[in-house]
Amino acid sequence: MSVQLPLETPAPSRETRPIPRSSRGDWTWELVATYPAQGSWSERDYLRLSDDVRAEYNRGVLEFRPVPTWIHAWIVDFLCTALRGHLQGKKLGWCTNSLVRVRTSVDQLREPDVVFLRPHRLPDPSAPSLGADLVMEVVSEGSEARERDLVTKRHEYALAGISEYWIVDPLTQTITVLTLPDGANAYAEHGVFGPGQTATSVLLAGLAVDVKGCFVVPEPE
Amino acid sequence: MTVQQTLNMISSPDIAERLTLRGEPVWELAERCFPHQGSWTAERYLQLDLNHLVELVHGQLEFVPMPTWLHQAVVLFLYRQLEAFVARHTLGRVSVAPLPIRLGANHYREPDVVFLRPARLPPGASYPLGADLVMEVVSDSPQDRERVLVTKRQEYALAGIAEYWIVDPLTQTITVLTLPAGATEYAEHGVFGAGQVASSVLLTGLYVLVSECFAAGQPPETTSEPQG
Repeated sequence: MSVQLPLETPAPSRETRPIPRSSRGDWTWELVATYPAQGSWSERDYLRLSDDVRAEYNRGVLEFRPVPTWIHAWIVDFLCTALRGHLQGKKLGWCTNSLVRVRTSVDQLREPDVVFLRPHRLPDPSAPSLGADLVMEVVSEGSEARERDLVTKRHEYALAGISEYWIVDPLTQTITVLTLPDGANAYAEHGVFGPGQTATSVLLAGLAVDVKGCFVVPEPE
Repeated sequence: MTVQQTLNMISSPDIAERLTLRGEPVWELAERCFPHQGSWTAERYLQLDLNHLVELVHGQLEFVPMPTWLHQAVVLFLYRQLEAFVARHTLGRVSVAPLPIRLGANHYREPDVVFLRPARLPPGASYPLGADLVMEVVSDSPQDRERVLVTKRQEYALAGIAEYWIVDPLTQTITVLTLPAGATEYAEHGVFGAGQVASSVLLTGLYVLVSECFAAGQPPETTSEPQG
């Protein structure tokens, strides 16, 4: 098999880290050399990757989401169900937890755990949305993931003009609701809600999420 | 090994913390996009879209070294010799790498030069099952020598390929191996050196001048006479 490389950007130069030879049982490392190095990815090449790669795009770098756990999935399901229940019949827009791509900047594409957006943000449903109105992230384990969800994305989502950002933290069993004042580029804290409390929204008046219920293991269906 | 374990093995300690950095290869893609070595199927292998020669050996990808100018020149010389003979006698078709030849369920090789009788030409867009004669030009690396001289010798014999030419620029020899009827191992027809003429058992009348073959791989003589 020897066909033209289909990507726009060139493969890493020899100066980048050498690729180890793979043996039986290893991942096929050599194939990594046929892709661009981190920092050199074009958006088009990123979009060509298959959906199950589960990476976000950040200024030429692919940022990989950790493989989801059941705990993560249960929390996301609970949140999305609550959100969808609130939106029922109101014809405000759409919500999903299917890891759709949200454009947060000209060279940045994120996949928040839960997304709500108004229709005008989705001129082309087969392409990434133009920002979002409300996003939720369930904080993953590890210091790197915590920093990313608590600090980095808080900054990015505010700059992207996403009105509301929910940080759902299994470690502290809290839901932090951040709201973007008109014209601001940094979030203000609407509230930090713990077990026994109900998380509420500024954007979607009437949305109420039981914090304790959010973090319990659900009954088998 | 996980991505993290591999990185710990090859990274310096300060980078081992982060999975990937600007300038680093994207290691995660090996884990998320492709099967691990041993799990590759023919179907997945044939979907690969690379500018690199890759063979599939029992579920494992083997990456063929990038050929040198000399290697390619020798391959093309052999191709021209064989093609001219085959065409003159309308014996079948000749091709060069990278045409995948199927040797088994998850086993494909891409010999440097391949001769196929008409009966073996595959229908439509599929790849041939086995071949009638193959030639391999040995590359510099020790892995490739072993692969061509030993491993492929066994594989091609087991696949019933009637004749196998090993063309070795290092020793400047052409070894012609022939498969006796019903055998599963090659017998040596001859080892031909400089000044000699390599002949074929399968294709009577095919001759290759060994010296001419390796001369094809040499850079042309350049006279550096001063101008004017």
